[in-house]
Amino acid sequence: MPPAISAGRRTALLVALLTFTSSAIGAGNPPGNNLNPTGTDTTRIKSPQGLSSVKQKPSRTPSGLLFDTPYEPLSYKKLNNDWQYRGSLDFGYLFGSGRKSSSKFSDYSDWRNGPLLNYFSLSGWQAREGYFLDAQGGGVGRDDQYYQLSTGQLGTFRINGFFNQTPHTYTDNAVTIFQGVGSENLTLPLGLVPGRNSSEQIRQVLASAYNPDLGINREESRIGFNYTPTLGMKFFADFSHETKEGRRAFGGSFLPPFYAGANSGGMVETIEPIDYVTNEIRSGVSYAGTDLELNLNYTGSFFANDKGQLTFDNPFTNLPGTNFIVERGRYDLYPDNTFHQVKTDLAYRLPMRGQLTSTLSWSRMYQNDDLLPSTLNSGQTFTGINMDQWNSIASLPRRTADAEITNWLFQLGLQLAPWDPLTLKAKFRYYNEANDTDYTAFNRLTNQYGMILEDGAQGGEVFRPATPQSPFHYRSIPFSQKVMDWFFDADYRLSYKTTAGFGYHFEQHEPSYRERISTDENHLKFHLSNRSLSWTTLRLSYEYSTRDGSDYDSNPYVPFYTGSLPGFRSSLTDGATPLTLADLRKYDLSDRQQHRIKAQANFLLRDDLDLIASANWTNNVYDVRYGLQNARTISANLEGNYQPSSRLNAYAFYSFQKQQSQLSNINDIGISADPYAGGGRFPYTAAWKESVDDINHMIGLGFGYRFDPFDIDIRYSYNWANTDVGYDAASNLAFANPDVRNQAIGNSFPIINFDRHILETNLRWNLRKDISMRFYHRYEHNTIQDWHYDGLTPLIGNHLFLNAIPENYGEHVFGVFVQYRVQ
Amino acid sequence: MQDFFSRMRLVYLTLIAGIAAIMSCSSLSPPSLKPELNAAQSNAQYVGASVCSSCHELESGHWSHTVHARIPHLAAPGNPKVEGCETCHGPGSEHVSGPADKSKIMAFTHQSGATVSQQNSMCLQCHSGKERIAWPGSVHQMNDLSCSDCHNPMAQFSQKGLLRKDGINQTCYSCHQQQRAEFRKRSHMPLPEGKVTCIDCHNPHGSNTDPMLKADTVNQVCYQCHQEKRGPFIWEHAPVRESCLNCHQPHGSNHESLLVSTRPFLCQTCHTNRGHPNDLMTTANLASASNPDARLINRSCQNCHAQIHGSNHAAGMLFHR
Repeated sequence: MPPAISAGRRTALLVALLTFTSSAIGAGNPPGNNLNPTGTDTTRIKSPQGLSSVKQKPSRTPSGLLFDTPYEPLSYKKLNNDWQYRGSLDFGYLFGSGRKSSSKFSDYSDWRNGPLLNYFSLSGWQAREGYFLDAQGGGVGRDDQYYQLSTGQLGTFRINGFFNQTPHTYTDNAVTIFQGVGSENLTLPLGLVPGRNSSEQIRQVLASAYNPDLGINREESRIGFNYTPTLGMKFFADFSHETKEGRRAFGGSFLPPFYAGANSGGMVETIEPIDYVTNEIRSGVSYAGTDLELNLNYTGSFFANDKGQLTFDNPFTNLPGTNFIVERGRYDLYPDNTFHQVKTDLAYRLPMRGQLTSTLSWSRMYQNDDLLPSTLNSGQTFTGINMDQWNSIASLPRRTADAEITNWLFQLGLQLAPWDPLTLKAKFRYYNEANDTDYTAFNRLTNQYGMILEDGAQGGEVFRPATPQSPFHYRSIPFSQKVMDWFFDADYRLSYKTTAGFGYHFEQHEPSYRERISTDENHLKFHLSNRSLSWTTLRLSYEYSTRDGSDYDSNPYVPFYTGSLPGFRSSLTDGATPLTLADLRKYDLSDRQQHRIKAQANFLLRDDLDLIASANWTNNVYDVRYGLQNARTISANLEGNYQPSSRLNAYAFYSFQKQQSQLSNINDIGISADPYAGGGRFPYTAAWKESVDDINHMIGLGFGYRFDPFDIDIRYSYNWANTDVGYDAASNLAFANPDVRNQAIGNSFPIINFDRHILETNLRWNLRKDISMRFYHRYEHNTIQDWHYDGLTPLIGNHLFLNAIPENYGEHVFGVFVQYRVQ
Repeated sequence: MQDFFSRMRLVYLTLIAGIAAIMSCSSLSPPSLKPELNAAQSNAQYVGASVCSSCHELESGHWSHTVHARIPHLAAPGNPKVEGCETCHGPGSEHVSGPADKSKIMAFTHQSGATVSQQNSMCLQCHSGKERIAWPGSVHQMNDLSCSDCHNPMAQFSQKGLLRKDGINQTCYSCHQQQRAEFRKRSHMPLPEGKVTCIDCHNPHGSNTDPMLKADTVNQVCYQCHQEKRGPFIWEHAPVRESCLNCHQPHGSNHESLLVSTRPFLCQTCHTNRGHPNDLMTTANLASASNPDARLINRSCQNCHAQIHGSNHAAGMLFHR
């Protein structure tokens, strides 16, 4: 007779069991991979008996969707008088077409030929005292492998751990002349001298350039523990360790060619080394009582970048000036940072079916990396700045960054149901993000405000009182924000299966050091949920919102520019060089009207047939003359699910989405202090507008059938997309190159196309109750055409590219597997 | 700041007054965790799990392999004598005498005679608090979703969580078909590949944000995985610090790097600064045309402004370094 476990502890069991699977604990929930996206036991077989032998009609969810046919339960074997166990294996061999037409086929996956332990599981359970052990994993030894281990005692404690590896492939067709790829130092090969090479010399070296793999490998390990000392109380702690290693395409400029033509320093695409380590701690306590629920959590995240800088040789020559050679450039890559958060959530039950909720959260982001000097080069720039006085730590205003952002969140909500059909809710939310970073570009050696630009290739910016010049950005801008929200909602139950609701939401956003001191947004929302009809479930919502706010200041950054310093003298006779077009409105702050409609209907066409239809429409209209003028999205989806028996299921779906946006702008072709449209700097003759239309389609088909001793599962999806970018200009003065002939003032770029077919088939032969053979096939075909890369070659004038042009591919993968189930 | 405190005082006082008024209504006592049975079942008596399984043998068989069944003598917290099936389905005597009437037993289906609130109250007997603390008022709750719209505790489908589909994403796709299509776009996070799930960013049980994010803000959600972007940096890029969604579409995009639009036009919606940002790039600036321009081709603006998320370089105010 197993010892009795108190009802209280039994209840706590469920709380404890489900904690680590909770949706509230960070990223990295039960992992899987492309061969097993759900991470479930691949050896399971659908039950021919279905879910119920009593019900005449298949069951549906409260929203009307058919419940899936369950799997045949895996039985446990007795290990001894106390313990039971079960397990399964899915192992075999993968082989493919081997053409490896594009590395993108392996993005997020590992399809390499070879043996594969696709899935394993082992579970043990001791019924008497509730001890358990669960282990599972897949893709063993491959780049997309995953493992999970859980053990503990039901209702008392649980230890859970997992490991998940994700390969992110960018390309393997990049071309680079640099040596040291993956390190902090990219150097030119023998025969090239930094800063002193002609395009022809580079072209010759390119002939023997190599193809580095660009991609990132992410590995995350996590171990967690939770303990349930009493009913409703739980403590948890987990620790995760994540690494990201690899390389990705990165930039690099020494005064791009469009500035100064063929003799300029050039643009060179470098390769950023990725070597990140993040350690994270999460811990907390939760309490769930009759009237009171409380969560108290701490999160600490510690990020380190073990490749904190990137130095790269200049493959080109520079601007005329025999004494001026820019040999190298240097990036200061992402700094180490820390994050701490303490958060508490509270819910208290009130009369009138009410609840009071509150959240209080404090968090801090901080980084204090060592700073790098303005440049690593020596000599005198073409603007007369001696870089020897700017290339040492002594020139910096301080040694480290000391950058900090603190966040506060406070939320309070009240819900009441004064009488049964009516529920009222009110909520207030306050969010404050305070940026305490303060950096001034000041040289302690020369006592000057300024910096060297592009390691000297663009000269430098130095403030010289009483000398005519344009203002430049010399102080960091500590962007901060406060957001306050008020919500009022009323739901009314029209019948026991139909609810209608009305909501009003007011948001006040107060950004600091932005173009508006505050914006106000009013939202009105209506929603309806109807499950009363026997043949359909309907959900509708409509939301209208309008945003306005304080006056728009096109240049709030004056205090951070040298134009605010005593002694500043403008190079223009009629005032300071304007920062920007005063009539342009940035879309995150501009006045806006928004409509959003969402509709979803689940049709119960027959006992064995579902049809789901949904549509969404979002229309954003910005009340602006220049900037983003509108952004619209319309989506529609249709899906049918057919389940005539527990042996057969089929589905088909189609999804459509169209996204459109339009923007307008003016090219600044004049020399004038007038910042307004139509003035000397931004004449109407240089105005232009552009539109982007994205259209996406997707169809999916699936079929599963059990015909003993076989079962088959076939899935096909095809998605295709077109992006059309068109432009119109008032005249060729809007163009980057107005003197180039035969440029139509209205035109469009070639269509960006993308399409992908995926066909996946599993045919299983169930030889015995415990052994099956599985035959697997996958065909994936992808084409892409993107004008950003059309005609791209590694060397175009003074541009040196990695030439990582997206590639098409078509690949077959075959697999033969043996499945074993402990029965 | 004074304005804020004044507003907060008013909110607090209103709420406290309201709560005091409500609490003074002595006949309206706080509800306990007792399940809310519908009227037809409220007079029923408990019959015991063996009576249930005498008819529902197949259901019992499937259920016996789930985590709920591992708990010896599973019972409701408010009524320890109740075990097994009736812990969730309520007392079964009325159902035994009239099985065709769906209102006489707590069913978690479309044909159920119970409201969603009543159905959910059975689950919340045990599964209250923690990540469900913000369920009331969440978008799923306001759309009258039942626990059993996403979960099916009667059989083991998913590896964890007793979902009604094999996986988290598949469960969400039941209603969110648009997101299923978006995750198949040209650039996407590895959801279809099984490496990321919807609940890595969202809490479907509700949170303190409208889109049910797992953190206080969009950016904090993104920083869970993209920690290097957290900074802060000495040279910040305003739209980045404000919200990642100013430039990115997390569910999928036709453009590289989950961008909401194509470069350089995405950047030109805000940038018309003096210099080169507001030049209209045309087909003449394509790689094989007369005036190939790094501002248009390849990675466009990021060919030079590579540190677009912010820079920590002493000379990085233009994100070149």
